[in-house]
Formats: sequence, C-alpha cells, structure tokens
Amino acid sequence: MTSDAGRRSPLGSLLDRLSQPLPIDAYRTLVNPLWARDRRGVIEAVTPITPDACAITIRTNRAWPRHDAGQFVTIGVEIDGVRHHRCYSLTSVGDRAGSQLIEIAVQRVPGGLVSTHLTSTARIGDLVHLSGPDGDFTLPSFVPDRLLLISGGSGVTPIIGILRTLAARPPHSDVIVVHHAPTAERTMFSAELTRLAARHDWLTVHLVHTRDGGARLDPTRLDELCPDWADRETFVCGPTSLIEFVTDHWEAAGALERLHLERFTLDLPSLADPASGGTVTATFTTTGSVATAPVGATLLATAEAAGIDAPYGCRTGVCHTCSTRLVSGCTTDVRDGRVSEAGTHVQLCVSTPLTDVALDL
Amino acid sequence: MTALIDRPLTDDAPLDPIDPAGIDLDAFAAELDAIRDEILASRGQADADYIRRVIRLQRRLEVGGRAALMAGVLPPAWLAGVAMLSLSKILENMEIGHNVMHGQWDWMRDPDIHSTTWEWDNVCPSPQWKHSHNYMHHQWTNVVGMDNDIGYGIIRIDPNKPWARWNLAQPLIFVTLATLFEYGVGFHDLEADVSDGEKVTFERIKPKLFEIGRKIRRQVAKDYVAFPALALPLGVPSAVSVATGNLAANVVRNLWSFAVIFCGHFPDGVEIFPRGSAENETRGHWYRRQVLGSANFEGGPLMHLMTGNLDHQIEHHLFPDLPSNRYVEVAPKVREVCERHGVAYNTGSFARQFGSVVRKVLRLSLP
Repeated sequence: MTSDAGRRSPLGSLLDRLSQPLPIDAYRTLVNPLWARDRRGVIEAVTPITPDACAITIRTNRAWPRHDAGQFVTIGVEIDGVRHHRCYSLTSVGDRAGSQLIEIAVQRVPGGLVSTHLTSTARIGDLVHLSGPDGDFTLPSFVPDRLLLISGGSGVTPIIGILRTLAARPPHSDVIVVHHAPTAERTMFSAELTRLAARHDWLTVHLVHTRDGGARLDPTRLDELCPDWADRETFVCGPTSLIEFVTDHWEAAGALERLHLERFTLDLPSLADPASGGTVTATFTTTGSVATAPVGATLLATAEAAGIDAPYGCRTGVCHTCSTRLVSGCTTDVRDGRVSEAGTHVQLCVSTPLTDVALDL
Repeated sequence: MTALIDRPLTDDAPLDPIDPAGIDLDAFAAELDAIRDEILASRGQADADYIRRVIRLQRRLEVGGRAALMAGVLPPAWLAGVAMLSLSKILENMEIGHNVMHGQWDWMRDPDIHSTTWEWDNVCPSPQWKHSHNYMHHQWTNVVGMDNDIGYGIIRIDPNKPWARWNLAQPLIFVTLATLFEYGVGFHDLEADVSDGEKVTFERIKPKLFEIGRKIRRQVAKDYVAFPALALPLGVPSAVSVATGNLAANVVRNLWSFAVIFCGHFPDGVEIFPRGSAENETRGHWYRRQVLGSANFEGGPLMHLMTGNLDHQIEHHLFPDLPSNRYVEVAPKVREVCERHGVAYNTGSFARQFGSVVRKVLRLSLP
C-alpha cells in the first residue's frame, strides 16, 4: 500500500506485522478515518467569502507537518467515486507547530469540477487527502524591512496567508499590498484586508477593482502606488498577464533577484486528435530516456520502440500487467476515448498520448 | 475495437469473423462492447460506496473473528470466531483481492484500492497472481498449453489429455488440492516456468520461490505464531484454540474458493480449446471463447457476495475489469446476446455444476 509519510514508530511496525498484508492503518481508519500515516483531514467548516468563493477549514491528522506561509497543499477529494487532486494555497497562519487546522480559499471556476465540488457540494466532515505542503513562495527566514505583495483574483490566497502570518508576529517592516479583482463584491478577503490595514500601521493596502474603473498595473501605476518597488522584496501571484508584466518590468530594472512568483493557472497544451496523427514527446522518468511518440500508436509500442523494457501481458487491455503511472500529460484509451490525466495509472497497451507525456518507466 | 489493438501475435491474417456455423462474430463483439461501454459510462459513487462497504465489513469480521477466538477455549466462541474469520478471508480473497487485482477499481484512483498496490491474505504473491491469473488464465482461457488453470496441472479434467497411472489417485488429489488450495494457487505461477520448454533450474525459479516463501512465512507467523502468542497469557489451551481456529478459517476459505473456481471452468459442457487455436483471434473469437470456456451458477445476493461475483464467471471472463457488483446487472443482457448469436451460455444450480465437476474428476481418473 502506498502512503507518503514514513513515520513509523516501533509500536506501529509491530502492529503492521500483525495486520499484514495490510498496514495497521486499514484497521485504525475503521474507527477514525484520520488515524492514518498518510496526510489527511476532514472538512471542519465551509465559509462563503464572495458569491463564488469559499474558505474551507480542514482539521488535519498528525501526519500533516507545519507549513510556511505562501506554500500550497495538494488536496484530493472524491467526486462521483473518483479521486481528483488540485493545488490550493494555504491561507492559514504558517509556521505554527501543533495546530491541526489549515485553511484554503477556493474560487469557483466555471466548469471546474473540483472547485465547484468544494464550493457547493462539499460537506463538513468530508474526508480529504492531502499532500505537501509544497512551494517556495515563502518569506525569507529574516523578514525583509520592506515588502511589496501584488496579486490578482484568487492569487490573493498565498498573500493573505503571508499577511496573516506577519500580523500574528507583527514585524518591524513596511508592507504594501496591491490586489486586483474584477469588482468589490468579488474581491476575496476584502473586508479582512481593509481591517488589517486599519489595525496595523506597517501595512498599506490598495484594492483595485478592474471592472469598476480601477487601472490595471502598468509602470506608471506601479510608481504611483509604490515608488520604491525595485528595492522591495516582492511577491506576486496572479494571472499570466500580471506575471508577464512584472517579470519584464523587474528584469528591465535589474531587480529580478527580489521578485518571487507563484503561478496559479496552468496553460494547458492543446490536445492532439488521435485520428489525425502527428507526434508528441514521451519521457521515461526512471530510465531517463526520451522518445518521439506517434499520436494514435499505443504507448507500449512507443516504449518498446525506444528500447524500454515495459511490462506487458495480453496487449489488448485485459490483464492490466502494463499499468504504469502517468507522471505528466494526458492520454486516451483507444477503446473508448476516456482521457487519463497526470498522476493516474494508464494501461500502456491501449493508451495513446494526447499531449507530451512522462511515464514512470 | 479492432481485433488486437497493439499487434497480431503472428504475422498470419486474423481468423475469419464469420465462423463455420455462420455466426457473425464481429456483430457479436459489437453488442458485447456496447454492454461494456454502458457500464463504463455509469460507474460512479454507488460503486465506490459498494467496494468500501464490503472492505469495511470484511475488516470488521476479521477483527471480530480474531477477538472471539481469543476466548476460543469456549466452543461457542471458537465456532463464532471461525465463522467470522472464514467469512472475512473469503471476502478478502474473492470479492476484494481478486477483483481489485484485476483493476476493477483502478478508475477510483484510490491508491489504497488499486491493482498496482494491492497485496492479499493468500500465500500467492500478488505480482505472480496477476501474471498467472490476469494474463495466462484470462487472456488464454481454456487453451491447452497456455492456460495452466486447466486442472491446475495435477488433475486430469480434459479427456483429450493422455491418461497416466497416477491419475488413479485423482480423487485424493482433488480433496487435497481443495484443502490446501491457497498453496496450489501460491505455487501456480511456477507452472509457466516449468512448462515453457526451457530447462528448469533452481536459479531460474529462485526469485519466485523466494517471494512465495516470504508470503508463507508471514501467514504462518501471523496466524500460527503471533495471534496464538497474544492468547498465551490466558493459558496454553487458549493459544492452541486460536491457532486451530485460524487453521480452520484458512481451510474453510480454501474449500470454498476451490469449489467456486472449479465450478467456473470445469462443469459439463464447458469447452477446452486445442493448443494454438486462439492465435489471430478477432475480438469476437476471444469473446466467444470466454463464454464457451466458462460456466455460471445461480444464486441470490449473498451468493454473489460470497463468490466475489464469480457465480457470474461468464460475465467476469468477458469483462474482467468491470466492477464485480455490476455483473449481476449485465448478465441477462449477455445471456440474451449469446443465445441470439447461438453461443452456448452455460448455467445451472451450484449443486448441479459442482456435481458435474466431481463426476468428471472421478470419470477421468480412469483411462
């Protein structure tokens, strides 16, 4: 059985021997689903924060370690029987040992399976699977004197985590926040940002409502809001356009070393059409080799052509001998067109790639 | 779906999809594919809830059974403990382990209920099981020389197999195999190594033997050393009753799984296919061979659960990776398609099917 955390006490190892071939967790979780070595939690509260966003509080089990403000958690939820994983920035105070409560904020994405589930169908008490915390969008161990935090849309989530952490141990710093959202109503954490700014004299908050006349960030606007931006340790999280603007602007100013970026949107590669052919790239992560993969040909054929000793049995999708973890990319089952995404297992003999793929071979 | 997705097994042309009796096997395959697709499209929360419910039930039965056996010096506690632990081991091997290892639940993407990670309470290591069963047996069902499940190599179940004098002991072998069935299963994958024509050396089979040995050691350590030792503070008779209870549960599971599996492929009317006959099959030929090489038996919901839904052996062989709880729903459709296309669908009561297996085993013990 796979569990990511390897915390095994002598008692745990003894119990595993008694419970084998299953780990003792298989029995402990009958009593309490959180009594497991892998990182998990239950939803403790779901709080609407805008018409289409919720803050979700999760009570974790002891396997969850402390996190640093600005990091993200990968959360696994079951929707119609299938586990789905998504990454969300942690909005709760970081670096707090012993607390089993963490919070994320989820904005509903139109057509988004997991965000819709978390904001409308998730219930208190639901089990969630966690991995992480991950990410290096974090404050240096010595908090700099001057900080600039820029965000757009739900990019505010790691920023609010950083601000809450700073507010819990008020710094001798000067912090400027510039946050962009379409309207006041749809600004996540707007009341809290305003309240924090009123309470703390080290904090200045600029809320920009881009659909209500607020100007998008450009060099002039930036100079108005924060004249000494190039000298500040700067954290930016938001859509691609914002990331591109700051990257270019900071680079031109020779200030890239003070710029920290977090992308929350992934530009999905366009999916190939298996009928039309073409080729993509297949990477085999264990052997480290790379091959050209014809779209429409099976991954098993591609792997064998590349000299990879791939497992196989029936070669017709019956026996599952060739099930292999898809590390990245998308594939489709040539029998029924079902699409598999990264992190799942695919049957090499009946799968063809739709994008560049990486396989655990 | 085309005949063989990846490559034909030889360069010869595929078999004619119209069989000599005039059955259009392409049409037959298309109808069965449609039944499969319908289930794939409707898999969801109810199925996930089902397998989790069965898993919870099995683990509770196991805990209950092992707890009751701690008081096993009292006969009613011993009987209750054996009953619960036997049920648990049967569910764990049949409805859970066998089906999870087929990949029936991989679509849930739950790493704890996944064919690539599952290990079961049986002396057969799961990687070897997946080879001998999922591949050799399911792909080459009832093909002589490929499917080593035909009589498990030690029972003469095929009248075309030449008689040998030691077949006279067949009734005794039958009962012994039933009692020790998990050991038969445990060493079963070695059959592929000793029957492939190459010289059998210890070096060659050592890795598999080592794995089997490790699983046997672990089961012995758990059922016959560790749990009896836990009862030792209550006295030596308590420890002995735990060991005998565990032994009884292992034997009950062996007898029942043996009976179910022998009813799946050996009753009267089930066909055995000659060596080489399955090469260049189209999907229709493959489907037909699965139907002709398997047999169902009848029963209610409890029978479905306790056989791991292998009372629907035909449906399992057509669709080995569909969730087992759905076989009961597709069975009437499969039967209708088979009967309309003139493919014999073999079913009967458990007593009739098992009776015919026993008769065949006795008959074929003689020349």
